[in-house]
Amino acid sequence: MINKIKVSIEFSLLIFVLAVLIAGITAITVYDTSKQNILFLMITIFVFSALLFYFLIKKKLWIQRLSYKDEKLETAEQYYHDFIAYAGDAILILNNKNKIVDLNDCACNLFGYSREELLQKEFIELIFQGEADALESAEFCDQTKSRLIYRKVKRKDGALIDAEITNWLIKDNGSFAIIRDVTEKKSAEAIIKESEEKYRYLFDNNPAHIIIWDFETLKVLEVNNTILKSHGYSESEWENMSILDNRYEENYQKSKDLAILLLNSDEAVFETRAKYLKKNREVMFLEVTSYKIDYNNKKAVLSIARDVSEQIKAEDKLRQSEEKYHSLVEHAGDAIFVIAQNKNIIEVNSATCQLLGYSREELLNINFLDMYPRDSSDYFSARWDLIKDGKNYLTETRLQRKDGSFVEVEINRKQLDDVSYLSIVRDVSERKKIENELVENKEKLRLFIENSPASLAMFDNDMRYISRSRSWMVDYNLLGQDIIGKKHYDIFPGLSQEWKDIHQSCLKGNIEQREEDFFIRPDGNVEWIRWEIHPWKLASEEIGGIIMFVDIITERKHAVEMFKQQFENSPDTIIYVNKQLKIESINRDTFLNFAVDELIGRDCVSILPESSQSFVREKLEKSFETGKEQEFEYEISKGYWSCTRLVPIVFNDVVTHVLVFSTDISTRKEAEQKLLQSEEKYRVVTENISDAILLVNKNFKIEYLSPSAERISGYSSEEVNSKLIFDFIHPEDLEKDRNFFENSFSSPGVSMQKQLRTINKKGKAIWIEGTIVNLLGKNNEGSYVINYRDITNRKKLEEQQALMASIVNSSDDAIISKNINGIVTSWNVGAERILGYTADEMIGKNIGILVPLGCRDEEVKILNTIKSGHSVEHFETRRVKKNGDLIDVSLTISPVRDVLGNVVGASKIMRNITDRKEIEQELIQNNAELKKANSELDRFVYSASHDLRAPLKSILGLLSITKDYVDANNTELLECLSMLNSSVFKLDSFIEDILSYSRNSRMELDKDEIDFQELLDKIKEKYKFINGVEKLKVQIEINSESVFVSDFKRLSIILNNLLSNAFKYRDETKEESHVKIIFTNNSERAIIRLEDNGIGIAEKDIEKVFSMFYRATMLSTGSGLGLYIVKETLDKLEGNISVESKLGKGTSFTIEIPNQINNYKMVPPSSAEINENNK
Amino acid sequence: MIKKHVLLVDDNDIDNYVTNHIVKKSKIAEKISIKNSAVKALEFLETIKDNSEEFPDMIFLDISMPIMNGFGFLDELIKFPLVAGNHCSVVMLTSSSDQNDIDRALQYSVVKNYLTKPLKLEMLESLS
Repeated sequence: MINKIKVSIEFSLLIFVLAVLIAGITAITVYDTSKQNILFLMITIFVFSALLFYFLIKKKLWIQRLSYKDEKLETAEQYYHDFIAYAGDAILILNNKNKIVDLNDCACNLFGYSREELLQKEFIELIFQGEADALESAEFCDQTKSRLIYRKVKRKDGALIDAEITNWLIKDNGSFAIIRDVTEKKSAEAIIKESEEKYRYLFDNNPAHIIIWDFETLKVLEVNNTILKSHGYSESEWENMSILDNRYEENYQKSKDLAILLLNSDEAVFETRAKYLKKNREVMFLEVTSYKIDYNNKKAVLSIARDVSEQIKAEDKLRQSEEKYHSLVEHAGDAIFVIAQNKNIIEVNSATCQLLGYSREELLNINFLDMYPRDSSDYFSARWDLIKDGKNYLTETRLQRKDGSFVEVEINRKQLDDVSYLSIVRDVSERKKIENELVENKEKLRLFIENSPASLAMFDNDMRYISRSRSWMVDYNLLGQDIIGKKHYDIFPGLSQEWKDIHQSCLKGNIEQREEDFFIRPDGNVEWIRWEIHPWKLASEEIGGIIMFVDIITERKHAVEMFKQQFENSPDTIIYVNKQLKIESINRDTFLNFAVDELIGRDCVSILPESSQSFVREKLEKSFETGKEQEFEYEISKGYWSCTRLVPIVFNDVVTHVLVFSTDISTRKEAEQKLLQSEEKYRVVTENISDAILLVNKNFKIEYLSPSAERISGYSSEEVNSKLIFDFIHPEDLEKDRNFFENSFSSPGVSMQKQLRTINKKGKAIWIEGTIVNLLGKNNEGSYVINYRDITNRKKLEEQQALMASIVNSSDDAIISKNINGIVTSWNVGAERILGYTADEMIGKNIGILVPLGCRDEEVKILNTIKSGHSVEHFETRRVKKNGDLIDVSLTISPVRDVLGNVVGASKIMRNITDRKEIEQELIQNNAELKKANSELDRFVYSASHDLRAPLKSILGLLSITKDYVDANNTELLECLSMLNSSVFKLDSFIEDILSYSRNSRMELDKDEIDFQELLDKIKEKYKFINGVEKLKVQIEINSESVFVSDFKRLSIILNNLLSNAFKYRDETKEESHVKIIFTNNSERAIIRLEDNGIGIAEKDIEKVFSMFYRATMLSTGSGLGLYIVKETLDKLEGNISVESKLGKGTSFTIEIPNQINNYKMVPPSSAEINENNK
Repeated sequence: MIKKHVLLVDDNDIDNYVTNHIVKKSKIAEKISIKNSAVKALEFLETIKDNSEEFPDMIFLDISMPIMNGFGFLDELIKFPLVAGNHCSVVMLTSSSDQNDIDRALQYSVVKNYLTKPLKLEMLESLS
């Protein structure tokens, strides 16, 4: 379009120029040809101008087109500029000479240079030197297309970066390069590649069969070289196969199961002995481990397999062969041992185990030689050496089984190889046994029959004797005859048909027997027999004949009869008891109230009373156990005594029964018991006679000492033999008693009562009381008979009683006893004194007359309490005196009991407490005062801890700030201050002492010898540093008549307070303040007087000065406690204080303190002190 | 903790002297007044009862004083409107360490501290 316009414009311009030209020529032609030169010039100018015009027109059109192009370019340029500036990659613009002419920020970052620095560089400089050569400019310039190269570029800091450089030419204007940092990508790639290669190598060259197959289609995806080699399929064949194709058909399901298993599990699945087919249809066994993997984004399975075909084939072969031999050995009928050189068993078969009773495991731990009987093992072990030549050796021996029994065996031994032997052992015990038995039985039978105590005979089918016992010959009077081979019926021709029938029956196989039978001998005697006939059988089970057994029981029969007679007619009860202690038989119709029916079958112990059951049961069991007879007596029931004899019945060495013989011995026992009782009585009586008997001859020598006398005196008869009676008399009574005995000479035959005090063997005084009869005159051997008893205890009681009586009589308290009805039975002097009635007046009267009307109820209550056995103590009530006065009494009443413990009366102690009651009233009053005082004391304690210590706190405060004013160099002052400080603390603790003193009012008094001067000096010392102390003059006067003993601390407290008062309350208006102290003391008391000329006390205040916390004046700096403490302390010292004072004149205190010298133990002065005094 | 006006109430002039010294030294107070009896202190407070500028904002108070003791003083003190308005706090400064006294004093809400004599600089520093 533009072109069309252009052409038309140019065309029109050309026409215009031609037109002008024609017009010019025409004009020239019109004008004068003469003017030809000018015309030519004009034409030329015209042509030129026309050309110029055309050119101009043409030119104008170009400009128009250019401006249009510029606009488009500007937009594009901005576009590219932005692209470059914001591109994520470094962009460089290079000129023809590869010099950088422009770049973006990214490039700066990449190379680490600033923009300005980069603009100075050539691109080549940025490329790593080793590779720069390759980057010829031609490389860039020749290319018309953009190209991608990988180079290392160098940063400003020298680091090399892998870069991807895209480069293309800008036509004739250099090139354009985009550089991208691919360091990381490169290294990642390298690693992947390396690893990929590694795995690929591992995959291909792995000796294991590796196959990867698709999880869903079961198609084979990849196989390794090993598979290719071993299976015979080519790689391309595999590509079209599924994993089932080379599987043994019967394993198809297995493979599918495997896939399902893998589907549900992330763990490897292991398949042993998987059966596969090679291409050549050969079977191979693989052990396959399969894992689920991702393969190219597919679910696949990696199966790694190991070819175990050879191994399995070998194993199978081995197993088959082994099984074959094993079953041969195992099922062999003979026991087979394989034995090592040391004879340890290596292998056995089941027959061995069966033969010897051991398990296989047990046998393998046993040495073969141990199984030989001990006596022959040496012999056999030696024989083992013989079989080393490889030949078979056959021996017969016995082997010991596990249970210890022996088995007869035949051993076939052979050397198996260098290290072991084979022993085939055959059990021949059965054979042996049969052999032995055969021999033995023959003999045994013969001996058995021959020697049988029974009559025994063996017959054949024709009833001919084969054998008979000796007894048979004896019993049937056949001795001397040879009956073997003869017919029975020939020997006993008269045998009844009945017998013959029995014989025949037995010959047919029956067994006949009779427990009791009899036959009549030819001599007419009846013979009792027990018989038994058996058939005997041949080995062929046919009956070979019969054996007859006949036992003559005539004697036994008689014995039983006799026993029965005895049993039934015995005077004793006889019980036949079996092992279960059940009664089998009893010879009584009734026993212990049980009928015979009830008794039979009953436990024989259970019929006894319970008390004797366990005892009898024990006895019975013992008899059953030991088989020994026992005899014992016991009381079956009250009064029924039995002597019981247990006789065990022994049968075949076993006690089967016990016969219990019970004899009734009740009567005997009764008699015995009576005797015993009577004896006991006698014994008790005799033993309890306590009277002693002494025989003394005329010379007072003791001739006889009865056992009681021995007991009382402690001497034995031998010891007193030929001693005088006086040797045993208490020394104090000796003279008196000697007179008595000597006097008794004059009155023979008269019995005299006498109490004597004797000395027993232990030296203790014993009172005896006895009757002494002088028999001296009656016969020649006459003597004193002294019959006496120990009355020491009675004497003691008498003494006590006397003592009690004297106590009662001398008691100030009324001691009254009364019976349960309140009748007075005793009345002491005290009662008389308190109540005014005499004993005569009161005894036999009711005590009620003493009870005032208002107290009658009380008396009833007291009586009830006493009747119930309880005491009444310190019961306070009132009683009426004889004169009608009422008195206060305190009663203590105790029940009096008789020997049986019954309350029969009461003893009453009554104290007159009228005076006490009055005192009590006073006390109650005092108590109220005391309470008041106590509250004051409480306040005191409070104040002491508060107010008393307040000044000390002030001092401490002052001291603390004083230090602020003291020059630190003034060490002396600082030291003084610290001393002051500690002194104040001391004072503080002193106050605490007072406090505790005050609190602990029970504190004991100290007793010291008081030196008044010393006392005062100590007090003065305390005030030494008090300001103004010198203003008070202290005068002292001491007038001491004797040692003065009192409490030093308390005295100093008193004086301390008084002196400090004198100081505090001095009258400063006076010229001189003074105090005069006068000590005066004698052995009775001390009087201390303090006289001052201080301000004095107003008359109205004088009473109050000793009360607590009284402060005389507002000016007072005291606590108001000083005089209170003085008073209190004096109270403790049992002293007192008085005060006289006149306001403005002065005050004087007078103190009186008792001298405690009487309660004071004088301490002798030490020698040092004496020396001191002497100087 | 700078107080404009601290009042010391103690019958013991020595203690007042000591306390004054220590309080001055601690520089916690711009002004210190001293009254040696509870009665005098109350009279003094009466004259300035409406002047919150002048009324002490801290009072050091002894317990044991003649005529009227510290507790009597406290009973009167709490009637002052400025005290009720929390303008003033009381520090007990006494030689009593009796627990009954401590308990009784601390029952007054105006009492903020209980110190035993002698006053020490460290004690002031520990005051809240």
